[in-house]
Amino acid sequence: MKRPELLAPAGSLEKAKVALMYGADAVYFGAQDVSLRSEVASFPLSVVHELLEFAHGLGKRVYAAVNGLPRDRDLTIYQERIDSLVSSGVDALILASPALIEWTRARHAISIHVSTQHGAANSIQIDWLKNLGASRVVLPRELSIQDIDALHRIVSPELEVFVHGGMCSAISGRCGLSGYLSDRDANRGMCAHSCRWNYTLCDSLGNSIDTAPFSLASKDLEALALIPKLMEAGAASLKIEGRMKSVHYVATVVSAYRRMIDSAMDQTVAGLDTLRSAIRRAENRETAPGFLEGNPGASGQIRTKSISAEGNDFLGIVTKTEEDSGLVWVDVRNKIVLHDRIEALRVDGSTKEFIVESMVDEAGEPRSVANVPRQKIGIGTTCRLSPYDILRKVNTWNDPY
Amino acid sequence: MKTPQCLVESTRESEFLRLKEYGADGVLVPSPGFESPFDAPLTMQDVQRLITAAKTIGLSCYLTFDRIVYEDDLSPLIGALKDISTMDVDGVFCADETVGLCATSLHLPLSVVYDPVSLVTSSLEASLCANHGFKGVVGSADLSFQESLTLADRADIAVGISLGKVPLYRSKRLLLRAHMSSISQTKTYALKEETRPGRMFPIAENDRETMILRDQEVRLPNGTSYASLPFAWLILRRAGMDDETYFQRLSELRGLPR
Repeated sequence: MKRPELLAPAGSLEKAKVALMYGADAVYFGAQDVSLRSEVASFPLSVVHELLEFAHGLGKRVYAAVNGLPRDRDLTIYQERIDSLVSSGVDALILASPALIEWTRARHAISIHVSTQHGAANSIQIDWLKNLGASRVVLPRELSIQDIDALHRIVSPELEVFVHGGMCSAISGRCGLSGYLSDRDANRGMCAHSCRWNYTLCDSLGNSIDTAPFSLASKDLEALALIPKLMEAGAASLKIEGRMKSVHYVATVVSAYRRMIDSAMDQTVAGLDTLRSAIRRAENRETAPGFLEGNPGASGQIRTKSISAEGNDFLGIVTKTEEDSGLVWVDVRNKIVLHDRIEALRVDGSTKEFIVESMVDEAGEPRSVANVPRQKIGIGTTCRLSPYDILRKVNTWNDPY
Repeated sequence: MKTPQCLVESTRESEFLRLKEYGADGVLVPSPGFESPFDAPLTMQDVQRLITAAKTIGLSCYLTFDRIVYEDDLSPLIGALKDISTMDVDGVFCADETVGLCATSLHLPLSVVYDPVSLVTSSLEASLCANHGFKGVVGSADLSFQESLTLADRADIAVGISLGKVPLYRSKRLLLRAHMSSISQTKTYALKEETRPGRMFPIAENDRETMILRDQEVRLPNGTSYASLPFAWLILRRAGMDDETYFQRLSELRGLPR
């Protein structure tokens, strides 16, 4: 069995670095103006260079998503963006448009991955996309492990499979809800998540059939337990969704999947419940295995209003340590109080508890509380911490599921 | 420039003559096993009968494959395409490019038009289809009328547009069955969104997919001259409309007062 790539979202430079440090083999980011995530999570070229240097220094890869569907007036900017990204040295482009795949292949030797937005669900399509120039296909989230296994046996491009994160309720690329209802075209990176709004079912005259809300929205995907089967089915890359998620989420989810993949390779048993609990500390949306075990039916739908907000568990991230002063510098995200007991999630997935013995601000002034997000604070502790350690509250959290 | 063909959806030969009188140039008939959730299921015998009936009165006849094609659909798809290629059809409209790729690789004498509703957004995309055996494309329903004109003007392939309550959403999830234990085959359903009172979005599902339509119809801008449109086909979608409204829209489209 070949070790699959673990591919993580890069919603920002910081998140990309965290993902790579916590075990991702590669990260993908949205190219500015031409990908499927809002401007908040897309990268200007100036940042791409720094990311490439960081990733390549670790022997890891960076992919750029240019997966919006351009209109005629957009074609020039898409083509210019592709040229620039290739020049920058990204390891692959993720494209949704077959025409842009063909156009890119005619000009550049770069690896091309077909976005799930194109919806290549059978071997004839995949072979055609390969002939256009694609080396990898990101499969639709509607395929089962059995489907993936069957495709793997008959097609030559690598197959990339989503394993964690948000699930479109519709077939990707085939949803016009957001564009129609809020003038935010999902195929050009502006999805308003209209499937999560409140709907009711009625008859043709508009009479409600029942009072229960009609669920269009799907539970998030979580495939930790299915990783060994996906590896056996030939998935070359296991993809985590969520360029808009937090650093805490990225670190926690990547770490959990890293451990699950490594356990499957080493044929050891990963603590599934522990890994799931860890993920729920970073985000507590309802999850399901999607279509990986077959059509999920009602169990795949969100029945109640989903709680998607991250809690205040995430306290900060270690940015540097000072040998001389013994201080650990932290980029603060939630309130840290002097003498707090804090847990550090390390890049190898282990955790460590420590006490905040002293705190100073950047001017060296003692502090008893740090409660301004993005404030830099130096913590004194006897515990040995490292850059990229994620600091969070000690786990007293009750699992609600 | 040729006048666009006006294509209508029908599975009832009894109304073909009336459709022609109201201005239809051709009918679209769903292919057995590849219907959309809003289509009535037919047999190949039904299809043969409808083709004959259309041709007898001078209507073109096209078949539709309005479904996403997964790996286990390939064998039935190839069988259906082979059957259809022996019939007197004018072409095939498909939601999934696999249909055209299959027809091309099998060298079947079928004119295939790619109509995915959402994915053909530029002339570059449309022209790619021309180089891979497709006879035409239908532009994305998200395009403005002006963008559709640009697409038709620049693409090296015949371009059509869809009118009526076009599909808005397609899912492999069977949402009606997930919501209630049984669904009526005769009842029509719609969704209401809480902040848009009075607006209803038709929804239907079959064993394979759920589809939701727009609540409002796509119509040509006022004052448009039918004959001068640069499109090869105007497809007047029927789902979500009653018969009376459908005939009225057809009549309006062709400018033939009734």
